[in-house]
Amino acid sequence: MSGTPSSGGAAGGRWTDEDLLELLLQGRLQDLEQARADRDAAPRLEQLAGFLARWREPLAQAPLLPPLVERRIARSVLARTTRQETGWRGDLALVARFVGDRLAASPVLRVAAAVLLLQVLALPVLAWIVWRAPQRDKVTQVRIAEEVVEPFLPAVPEAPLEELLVEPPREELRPARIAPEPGPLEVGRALSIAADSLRGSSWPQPGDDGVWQSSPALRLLVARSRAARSPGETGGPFPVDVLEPGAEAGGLERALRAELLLDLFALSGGEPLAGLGQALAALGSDARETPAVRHLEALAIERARACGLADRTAWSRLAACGAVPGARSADPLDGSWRAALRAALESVPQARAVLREQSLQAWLNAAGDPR
Amino acid sequence: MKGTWDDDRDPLAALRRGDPRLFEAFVEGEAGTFLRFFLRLGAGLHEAEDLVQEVFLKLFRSAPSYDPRSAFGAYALRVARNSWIDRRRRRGARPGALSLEDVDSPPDRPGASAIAHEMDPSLPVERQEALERVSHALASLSPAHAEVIELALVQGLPYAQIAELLDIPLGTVKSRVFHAVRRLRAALEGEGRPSPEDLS
Repeated sequence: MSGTPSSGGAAGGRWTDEDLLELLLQGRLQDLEQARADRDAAPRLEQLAGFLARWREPLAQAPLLPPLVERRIARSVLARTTRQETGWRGDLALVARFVGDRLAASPVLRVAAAVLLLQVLALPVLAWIVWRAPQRDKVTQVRIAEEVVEPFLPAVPEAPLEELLVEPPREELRPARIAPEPGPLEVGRALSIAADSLRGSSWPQPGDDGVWQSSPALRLLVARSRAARSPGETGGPFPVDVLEPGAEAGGLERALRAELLLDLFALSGGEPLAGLGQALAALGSDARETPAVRHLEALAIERARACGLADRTAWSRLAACGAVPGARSADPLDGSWRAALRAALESVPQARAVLREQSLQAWLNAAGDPR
Repeated sequence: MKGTWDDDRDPLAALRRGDPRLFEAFVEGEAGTFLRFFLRLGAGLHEAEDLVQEVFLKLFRSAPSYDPRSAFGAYALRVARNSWIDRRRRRGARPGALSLEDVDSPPDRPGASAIAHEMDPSLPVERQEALERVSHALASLSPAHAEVIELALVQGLPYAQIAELLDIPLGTVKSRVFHAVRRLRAALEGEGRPSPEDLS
């Protein structure tokens, strides 16, 4: 800017730049005419006027505003003044406007809000994926479990039951699923442990201790132990004649033979077994037996019942024996059965001597701890 | 201001009479004016938006005690300036007590220049460049100079009104406007810089 501002100004006969600028900005037309007539002031006045003409409008328009920002501000102001809603809608709009303004003002807040929204939306989906699908599988498992009533009875076939009864007794054998029957592994392990405790590993031969030879009950016990060595083979580790009922067999032998056949039945996984039906039908048929022997027979009936092999008549015999009906333990050589065996051997004079046999004691003790 | 809001078009006088239409027209017509006003003084965009809303709300709430005999335009600008001073005071600045340093040194004022890059694609490139240059030139001025440029050149207020508004003597207004224009001219039309006509 040329010229030197002076305190005299127009009044002193000389126009300073400050005076000229004031004339232009304040629009004092009469003074402007005088300044234009002044030879010294006119060029400076033109320069200043040119500058203002060029830049005053850009000055008023600067800076450029983002689109719609003016309308947004006006709408916001009017909503809070002349067009304000006083009800809950107004309150809601106020909150929404505040949130919107804050979100528009802060990129960090926008990112945080987006992350929060994503979490809120993703949470139910994740919950559905994590919880919903496994629950559906669990329901399916429950339905399968409903069909498996006896987990320890490996697939007792319905049809072969009729084949099993090669010589069906008068009573009709019907499956009765009451208590679990030990599976082949449990029966085999219990019997095998008992077998290892026997004196020697071979079948008693002629010339062995007389007790072994003379007692059918001992032979049946040994056979029970040996049954675990080759399951499914009735003539394997012991002579097959052990399974045949003797003409003079008493209740003790009948009970032990039935237990042996049930062992084989369980070890074979429920295969049809000749003689089992007959052996079961013979249980409890002699009312002259001692109560201890009849109790042992009742335990065999109960086990057969747990296997689904008992019939209605045998059940009535069980009650007649004085035995308390109930599920027998899964262990075929459990404590109650061993106690019943001791009592039965004790009650039969011909078999009482067997109890003194050390191998039998070892067998009974070992059978009591199959683990 | 884009329009004249004094006398029979006074928005607050109309509000007192129960007619909101003039106030609504004022808000819709002058939101951009006040927004640019604060941006030119050095506010950020969002701060300027807050300030504009604050000014309108203050005006609306002052309607019951408003004296219709005063000039509404000057009154509105006073409210806007006071809002700006309050805001700066809250930020730790002291606009009411300007020192020589305040007058002479260009402060850190992002305002107009900070949003200069947000161009309107419908405007010619030359126009956009001119506006951008103005924004940068304004940003180079001190707060005191920017203020008098705003009031004298942009708003076109009489020197006496500026003196009253800024609470400074008339002579100081005259001198400050002159120096502010000189600095602005140097920033805009310094050596080698084209004028808007050269650009178009």
